[in-house]
Amino acid sequence: MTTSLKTWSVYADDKSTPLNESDKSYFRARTRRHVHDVVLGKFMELSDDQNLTRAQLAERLQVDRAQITRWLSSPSNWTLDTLSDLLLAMACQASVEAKAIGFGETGNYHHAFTTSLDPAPKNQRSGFTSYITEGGKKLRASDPNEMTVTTTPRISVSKRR
Amino acid sequence: MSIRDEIERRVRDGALVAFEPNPPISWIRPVFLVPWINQQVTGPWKDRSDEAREMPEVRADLEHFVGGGNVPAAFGKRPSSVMLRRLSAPKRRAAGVWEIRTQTPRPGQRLFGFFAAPDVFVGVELLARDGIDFNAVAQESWAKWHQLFPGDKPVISENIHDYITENVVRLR
Repeated sequence: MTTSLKTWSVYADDKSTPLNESDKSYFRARTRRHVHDVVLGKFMELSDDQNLTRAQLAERLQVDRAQITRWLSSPSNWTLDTLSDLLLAMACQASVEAKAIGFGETGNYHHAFTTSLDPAPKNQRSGFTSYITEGGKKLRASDPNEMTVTTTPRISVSKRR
Repeated sequence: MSIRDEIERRVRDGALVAFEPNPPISWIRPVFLVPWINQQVTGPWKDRSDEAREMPEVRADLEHFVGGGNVPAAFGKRPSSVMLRRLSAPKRRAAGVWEIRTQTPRPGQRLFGFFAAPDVFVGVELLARDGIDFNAVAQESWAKWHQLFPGDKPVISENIHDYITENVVRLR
């Protein structure tokens, strides 16, 4: 027996098909990466705008600078407390929003190196939406009915009030 | 021929595959993989196998990379947990080899490859983290690069933005 990730439309529309370990691993990784992305992005923004440093975060949280570096390097050892602490040190708090997996958010930028390429050969495809490029910057699904996109539970950052 | 032409040629002859993100996100940083790696990352996998838990996480990390997400990066060994790391280069020729690191589930997976151009990654080797001989991997990766692109050089620079143009932070 083999297993693979489901098509996007199954994640979006089918609430009865059992989810296997691969499905769960994939979405857990997406969520971890997304949360980390938000925090790292905020740190990068404040570093540019206000010269915020890892040393300052460490001082505020009373931890080693090396610990801040580890946290900013990877979400692999994060807990929800890590999220809260890092945001607090940047005078922010998390705002969590659960959104349905669905249609509507499509990428429309295509790097110049991929504009003239066909999708992967069929035997290399993952079973997900395939792409056709046009004019250098357009991206569309080969089958409009499969034009499905998800959003993981979204966490945005807001200033503390 | 430009490196772009060469990549197109290698995709057309089946030596490389353009990694396709699951949701139709923008391809900010295209990733090209040798076919067996693409197959490994996208499945199918043996039911209840380790790879059925590991590879979906590799896939999620690659999609984050392709979609232009923020990337923590490092040159050399420290810090050790960044997503994107250029291998240490005791010998100058190792300088172009990078790894995209998926750290969970333990021991994690490492995708080795090169930047063919800014924001364009070519992955040539995928290994579980435990027991990697990094010098050997660097040599093997270079051999695969030369096999794919004889006469062409990958990006080699001390400026992180020559590899990734935006949304990257180099940690030291």
